Amino acid sequence: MKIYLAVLLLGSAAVLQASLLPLLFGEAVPDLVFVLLLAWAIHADTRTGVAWAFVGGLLLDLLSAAPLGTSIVGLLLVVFLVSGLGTQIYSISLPLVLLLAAVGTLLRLGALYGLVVVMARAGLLGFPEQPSALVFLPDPASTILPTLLYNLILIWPAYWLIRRGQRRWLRSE
Amino acid sequence: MERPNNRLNLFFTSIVVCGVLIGVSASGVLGPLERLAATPLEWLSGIVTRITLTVSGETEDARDYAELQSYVAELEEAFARVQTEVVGLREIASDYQRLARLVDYASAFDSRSFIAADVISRETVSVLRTIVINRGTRDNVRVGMPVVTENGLVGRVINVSANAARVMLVTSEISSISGRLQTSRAEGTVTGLPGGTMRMSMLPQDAQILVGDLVLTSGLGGNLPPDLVIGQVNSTRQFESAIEQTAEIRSLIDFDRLEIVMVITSFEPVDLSIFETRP
Repeated sequence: MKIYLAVLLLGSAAVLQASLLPLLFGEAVPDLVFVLLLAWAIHADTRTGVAWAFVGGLLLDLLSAAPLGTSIVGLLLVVFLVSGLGTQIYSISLPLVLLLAAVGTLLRLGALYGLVVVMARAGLLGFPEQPSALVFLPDPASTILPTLLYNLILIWPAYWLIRRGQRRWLRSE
Repeated sequence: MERPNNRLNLFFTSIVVCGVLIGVSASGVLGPLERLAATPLEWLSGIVTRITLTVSGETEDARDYAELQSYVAELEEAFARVQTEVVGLREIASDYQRLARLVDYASAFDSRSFIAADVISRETVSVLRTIVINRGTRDNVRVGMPVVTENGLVGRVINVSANAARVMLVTSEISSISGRLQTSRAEGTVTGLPGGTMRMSMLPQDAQILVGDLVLTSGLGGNLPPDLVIGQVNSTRQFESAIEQTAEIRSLIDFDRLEIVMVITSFEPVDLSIFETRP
């Protein structure tokens, strides 16, 4: 059941991220899949988080030109970051969630762009070879920073909603 | 409680799976499967995109329509302003032409002093055909002063206030002016008729009256200066039994459209009443 919920939530987020949000925000869009994954992973076990990362990453990759798995790596890093910190932290606060969102965004985007650059240089993207694969590197001011800002804005309401859903889910079980 | 080693194993396993997945996907082996899996997602994305574009397009259309409406309103406002300006300019041009003609007329009488005045009201439908001008005693306008245009005599001032004066038109039925035919020099009395025309009576029976001949003021009686154009002979009438002739006269002035006139301020009517007193 949980995986169906993940597919439904993350699928909707991926579709919106690929269709509606670029029309509204332009080049830099809120990373809805990442935000939902982070909000879920904070109070979930690592295996569930990994499952969400695979589902979300696959959905994102299906809607992009990148090979399957490219987006999963960054999301996995986020899940294991949260999972690793989870054993050290006993209460979740807004600053911590914001910090996780900021670090997670940089980890996810760093992994994603790093992989893309490596694959471009290795000729694994299926595009004609470029003189320099650095053309794929985004401009931080126009893409990474706005995305970071959007994620920071969205993470708290997303966390609040997901947390309420998780509690209701646990009571019903 | 998850053990760190388990988590580490899970992490490495996940990363390896990802690596394999990337490699297989990049090799193209999963191409058909990827396309199949992507189809519903792309279909959904297409629907969302179309809806978004439709909504945003209609919003833009509505915004464009509103902008166009605003633009049209601005243009209409500008057009109305320009029209008002054009009307004002036409009015100025018209006034200029009239004043230029008046100046030409006034320059022909260098010895006379004129003051221009605007017609501010009229009562041409009443028996007492009068107009009111915006000049009065403050402008040295006095009762009895002649009022003219470039086309001839308008009338005489009959009442005057500080800043206005009432002028009795020559077409008034109670107006009586001594006139003279320009060609024959025959003299008579010009009075107003109900239709807005004038009649010149008391013309000698042997006087030659030509239709179209100009009728001028004679200056007899001292009420008006001589040689002001009163009008033009329109028709004549002569009765066999009568000892005089009459002529119907039409003024050259369109009194219904009279806007600017000139008062001859240098003329002072002569008071002849002293000679009428009998001992």
